[in-house]
Amino acid sequence: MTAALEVTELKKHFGKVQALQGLTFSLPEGVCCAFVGANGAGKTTTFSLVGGFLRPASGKISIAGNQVASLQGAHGKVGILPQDMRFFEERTLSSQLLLFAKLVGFAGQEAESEVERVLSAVALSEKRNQPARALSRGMRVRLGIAQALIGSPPLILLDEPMAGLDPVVRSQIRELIGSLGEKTTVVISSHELGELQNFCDYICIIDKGECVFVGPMKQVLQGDVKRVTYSLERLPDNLTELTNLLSSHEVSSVDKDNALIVEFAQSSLTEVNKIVLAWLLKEQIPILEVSFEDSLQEAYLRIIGQ
Amino acid sequence: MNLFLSHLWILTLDELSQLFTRKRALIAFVLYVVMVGFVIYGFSRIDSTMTDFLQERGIPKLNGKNLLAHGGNFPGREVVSQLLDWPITFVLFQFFAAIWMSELIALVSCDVISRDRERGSLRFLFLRTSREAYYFSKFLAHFLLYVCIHIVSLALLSLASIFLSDGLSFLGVLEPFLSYSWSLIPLLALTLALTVFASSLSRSIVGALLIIHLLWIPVFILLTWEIIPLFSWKMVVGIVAPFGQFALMNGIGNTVLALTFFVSGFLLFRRAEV
Repeated sequence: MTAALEVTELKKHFGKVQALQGLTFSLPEGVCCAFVGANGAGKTTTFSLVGGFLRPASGKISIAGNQVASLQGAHGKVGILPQDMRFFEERTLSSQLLLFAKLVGFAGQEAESEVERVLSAVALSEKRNQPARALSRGMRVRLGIAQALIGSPPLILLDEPMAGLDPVVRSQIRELIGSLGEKTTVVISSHELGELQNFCDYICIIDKGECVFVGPMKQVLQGDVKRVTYSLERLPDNLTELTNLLSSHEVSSVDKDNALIVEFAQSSLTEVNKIVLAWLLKEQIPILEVSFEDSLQEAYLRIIGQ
Repeated sequence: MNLFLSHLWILTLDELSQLFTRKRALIAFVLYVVMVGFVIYGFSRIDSTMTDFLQERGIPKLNGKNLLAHGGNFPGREVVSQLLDWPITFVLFQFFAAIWMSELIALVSCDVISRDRERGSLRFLFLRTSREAYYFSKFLAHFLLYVCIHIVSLALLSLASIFLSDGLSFLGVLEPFLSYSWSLIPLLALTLALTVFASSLSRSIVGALLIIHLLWIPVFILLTWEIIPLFSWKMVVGIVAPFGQFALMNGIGNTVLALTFFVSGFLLFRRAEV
């Protein structure tokens, strides 16, 4: 199957600063990928190279099997929400989106309809005749996403879409990204790991300009499990007995909030799981679900070696 | 090619509509009419002086053919010394027009590309179109604007001259105006090519304006450096005395310079990171 985005040995430096040092990764079609890394790891640089805004020192970028020429971009094949998005401030939303729609091949009424489609997708239809400068931060992000959606490109890159947004807008943007369909590959760069864990099914972790992990989200979360979450029909009243049973297995905490959560340091997952299941059976507490997962935060720190 | 032409058309129309929306076109038009009006008014004021001057030298009336016969074959620098022998007001008016037009274009169009670079909206465009279509469209939109302004202002001034003067026919007014256009349109293209070039190198209006004026230094060197003997001087003279061979040399020379700066600017812009 052709990769939606394939980056091979990509290098980029700004003066003496090496931003990307042979970055290589490949994303399958239709995934929602978290693009994670520390500040300065090279996330925004990667997006800028894929968009054709910067010139790579070396390496290749392919979108849906087509190699992207340096500084040319893959016109109409990729939509990008840049981190520091700035629009044509004095122009109305519909006027600037109409220009983008015409450039990707829509004409006349079709272009108008496409603009209306993307504006309603981001709930900005009512603001269509307002200039971009009149928009709040949340609305600007939504306008940025709207422009990225024009022409339904198969690859959409969103750089820090959640930064500085209130929970309601975040939730709307999550829903919007979730509704993009199976054919669209979405790559989201963000530091909000908890958020990414909830709605991304793929992850690419980069560190110091190199890809240190790329694969399904489940794979990274289950890579070295030190936490098991048991969703129960009812929570146990007392955890003292279970804590005692686990005392010889380097379990760091046994806790209950909405579920029973067992965290451990070096013990074998199988042993811990066996003890907890046996105890729950004895206590006659029905189990709804067992989740063997790290939090993305922990998995990320583990992978980058901190 | 079709995609390039289609994008060129879309972006040119968009830029023109923005020029009118932002009232830039109107400001440019008013300033241009003032300039052209001033030059034409100057011509009419010095007309009698000019006639006397030419008659003293055996030329009955200011006329392109007569001037060509008397001034078209001077070698090299003698052309300039001959020019300096002409009524200074005539030369100054034309010189003033050339400077004003260059400044007008610099002021109205200096942010043609730097505006998009500065605010980052260039990135949204480059996701959908090529740098070729973008750069060419910016030049084309502004060139069309100035040519239209030039034609409209000359037409208005021609009509005004006919109504306000005694015995002036439309053709009588048209001839000097066409000579004037022949001189100014290639100069307009050169000035605009320099302005777009400078704007593509800068992220701010001040930076672009500074670069435009710095770029005039090599242009002046090219204009006055006798790469091709006779040609350069005739070309310079053509700016301030657009008649006969001078006008032809001026037209060809400025067009070549405009193309040189346009292509150089584009090649640099094509390799620029945004």
